[in-house]
Amino acid sequence: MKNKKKQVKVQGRMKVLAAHARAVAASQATKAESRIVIAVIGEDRPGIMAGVTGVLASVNANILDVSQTIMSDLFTMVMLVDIKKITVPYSRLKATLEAYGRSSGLSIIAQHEEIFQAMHRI
Amino acid sequence: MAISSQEIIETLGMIHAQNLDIRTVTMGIDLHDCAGEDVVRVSRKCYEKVMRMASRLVPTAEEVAQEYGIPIINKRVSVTPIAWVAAACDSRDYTPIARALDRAARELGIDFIGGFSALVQKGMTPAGEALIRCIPSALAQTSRLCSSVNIGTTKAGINMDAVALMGKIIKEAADLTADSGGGACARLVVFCNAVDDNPFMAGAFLGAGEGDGGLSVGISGPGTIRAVVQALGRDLDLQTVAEEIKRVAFKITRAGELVGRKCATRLGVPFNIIDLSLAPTPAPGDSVADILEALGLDKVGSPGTTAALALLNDAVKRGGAMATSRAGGMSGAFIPVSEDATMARRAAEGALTIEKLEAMTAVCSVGLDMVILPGDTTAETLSGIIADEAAIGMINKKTTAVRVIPAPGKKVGDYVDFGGLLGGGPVMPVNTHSCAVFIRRGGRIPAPLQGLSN
Repeated sequence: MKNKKKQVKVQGRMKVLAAHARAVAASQATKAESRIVIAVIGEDRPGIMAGVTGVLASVNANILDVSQTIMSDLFTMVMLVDIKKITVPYSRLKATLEAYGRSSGLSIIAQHEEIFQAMHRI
Repeated sequence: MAISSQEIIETLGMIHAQNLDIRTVTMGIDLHDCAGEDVVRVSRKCYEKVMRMASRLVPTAEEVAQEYGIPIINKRVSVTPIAWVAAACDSRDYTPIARALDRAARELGIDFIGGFSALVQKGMTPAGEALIRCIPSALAQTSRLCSSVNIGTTKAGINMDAVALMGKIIKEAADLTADSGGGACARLVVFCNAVDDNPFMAGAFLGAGEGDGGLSVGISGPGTIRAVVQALGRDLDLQTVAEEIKRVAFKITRAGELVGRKCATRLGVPFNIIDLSLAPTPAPGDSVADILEALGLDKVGSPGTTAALALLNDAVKRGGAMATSRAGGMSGAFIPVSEDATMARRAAEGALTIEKLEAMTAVCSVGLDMVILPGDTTAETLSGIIADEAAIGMINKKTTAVRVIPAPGKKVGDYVDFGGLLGGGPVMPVNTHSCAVFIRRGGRIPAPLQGLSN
């Protein structure tokens, strides 16, 4: 009898844990969907970061992380950006970034973070 | 764990420099519920169902490709083998259904619709035979319709009556489209062990037990794998090379699965399978032959080619199978001659022969694919080629196929161009010693012991 009670209690706890795990997984999934990676590649010169961040700020995109290096003489910047609260559709933001890149001689690529998670994490 | 800049740059390099893309998203649509007695009415129902189910296929795939930054090259539809759908029709002329499917494909903006098919591995139903006899005119009257016929399985053996018939059908299809070099044959595949969930054309159809529909994905990326093999240099041992190929295959497959699932969710259909095949295109660098040459062959077709292909094929499967639990379809490297620029060049140089290609098909998917033959190749010789390929498939419990084009009026050394993804290639010499008596015997090659697996 006592054992049975214990078993029920353990089962209950397992259920709570499983629900928690599901919630975490779901929140991670939506997180990845609302986050994009922006890569900026081009010849190094002053003002690149200012220009790109200007475009992002104008649509209320929130920069979460930035890393920047010079790889084989090319300016390479990778940004992680939260687009949950942007004021334009994502496709518009992507087009604006790419147009800005073309007008200033940079290659700017924006993609959902999920694709990188899928390819590089098990 | 956060993704490092290096990983991000690697992915971008794969997409933008090495042609990583999703080769096809293929929507399977069941057409059993369109059956009826009046072929015109059946055609209309087929057309309406395809239009209804796939109306958002192209825009959705384009939207997902845009958002995730991975190009989806082809959007396609596969349907229930029409021999089943049309079995109750009074008329034995099924070309109205062919035209209706072709019209749906054109209006949907997809490049191919597959499923003008019959499964006759053990015997031909009247509808199965009628469909096969309709194939030449159906293909000649359409431009996007694909047709396939399964003439053997490991469980059933090989239906040699059907093999003999298919030799004639291929000739007829070529003759009806002589002005395009026999282009109709590029949309006609003869299978042994055909798979029910193949997303790749021209052999796609939606088999029995596949449900009412679903979305399957064919991944690609020969360019990505060649880049990795090339970067490894010429001295690393083969096990290490295989390991590296496996890693890239994993990444390619994960990208494909993600994109496929997103498309399926947005279309409101189940996600079906992901086909782990390396599919080349005529684009520079998008070649399976290039990978084999990067492994250390001077020219594809040399001794060592079959072994190199076996290594490649297995490494891709290992990486892919780890990346998804939904592997299906063909899942193996394709070696279509005209669709692979390097393959076509080596064939023109004489380095790659039909006999070597046949050996290669024993270790990869799918078969003698997009091979252009002299216009005077006889129907019996074509049947002999089909029987040989089918025997390889039957004994090795794998899918094999024949998609050959006996180009009317063309001789060895001529070049035939089909355009687009079908590419072009040289007319290859074929062994002309006769097998007519063997083919004319008909009947069945009994199922091999390998089929007795229970």
